[in-house]
Amino acid sequence: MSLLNQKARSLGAALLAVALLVGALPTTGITAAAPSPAVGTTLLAGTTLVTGAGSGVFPGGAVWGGVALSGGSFGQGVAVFGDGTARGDFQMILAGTNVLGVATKILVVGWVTAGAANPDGSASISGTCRVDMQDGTVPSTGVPFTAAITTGGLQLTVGATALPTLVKSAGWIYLE
Amino acid sequence: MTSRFPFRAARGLAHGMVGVVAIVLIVAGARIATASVSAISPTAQGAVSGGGTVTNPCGDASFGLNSVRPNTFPGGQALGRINYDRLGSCANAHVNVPVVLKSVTVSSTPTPNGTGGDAAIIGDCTTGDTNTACPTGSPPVTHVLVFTRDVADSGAGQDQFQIHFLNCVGTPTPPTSFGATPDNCTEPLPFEGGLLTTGNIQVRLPP
Repeated sequence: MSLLNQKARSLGAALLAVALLVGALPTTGITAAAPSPAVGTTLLAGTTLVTGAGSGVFPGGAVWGGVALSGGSFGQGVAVFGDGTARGDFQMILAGTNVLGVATKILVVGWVTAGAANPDGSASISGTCRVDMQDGTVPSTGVPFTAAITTGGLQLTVGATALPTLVKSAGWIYLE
Repeated sequence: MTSRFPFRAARGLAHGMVGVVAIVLIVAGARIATASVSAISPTAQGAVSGGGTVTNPCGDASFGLNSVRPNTFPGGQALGRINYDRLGSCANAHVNVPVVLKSVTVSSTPTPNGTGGDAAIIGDCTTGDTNTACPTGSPPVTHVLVFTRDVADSGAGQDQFQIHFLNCVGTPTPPTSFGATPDNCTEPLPFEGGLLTTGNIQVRLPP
């Protein structure tokens, strides 16, 4: 009987401690956010969504960092707001041939912070990006970039390097 | 009679501590294991954007997406677009659909850049818009469902983009858990995607 009481007390203490500890555990990961009617009210006023995924080709003579560029693929999702700010992501993989004649790719991943919807129907976005020349050098981060985007292609400028327009050959670019 | 109180008490305390440790480990383990499986809500606010590449059985695929929800949309409706393009000469290569429904949750522990969360975004393949494109399937693909997960500012290898091809009877019900297929839908084609190869996804509260 005494042994049972002792075990019961031990179990009770354990359960109490667990309850206290679980309550004190930090919440990890993602938890559901309560719906908030206070945000998003004017979300779409003056907002332009730039969405695209596909691939394209460069005109002859496109060169970056010694790589003769032939084409590339892109994926982007950016919300451009009327006040000149923007949020979203921009990604391109540029394909070409290096000075040794070896096929190579350059990876550009951009964090978009500003943008504008232009009167001609195009959009301009800018921010900073990570450039991986994939040639054994350390990727560059925080590099300023801009991109001029139309439904038919996009023109990318990274740092001081302005590339010719990549003309879309597959996929879609949507500005709406 | 010699009192054994201190020893019995110590043994009882030890038993209790063992129990505490065991149960805490079980409970904490369960919390950690389920932390990334979050509830997503068709009425919560959250803007989703992203671009990058994922792998598919044919090779690589590019994606781009945007999804927003005005407060005037009460029942899970959303706006935006989903683009998905299998690179190369793969069959059933293109997805270009308007977003019609979304469930989302924004993380309470955001990344340093202030983003994070899960979303299920549904695009409509039956709009009749000549620009709308979806893979062909049997039964036909009526909707696409994209699950996105934003866990890092550098999305490669961490964020997720997963696209499912649905045949739905009527309007699909927005999922309330990550990875769940709506009850009134089947999947005539295998889903594609997963962890991002390159690019990034952002889930955040709208401005």
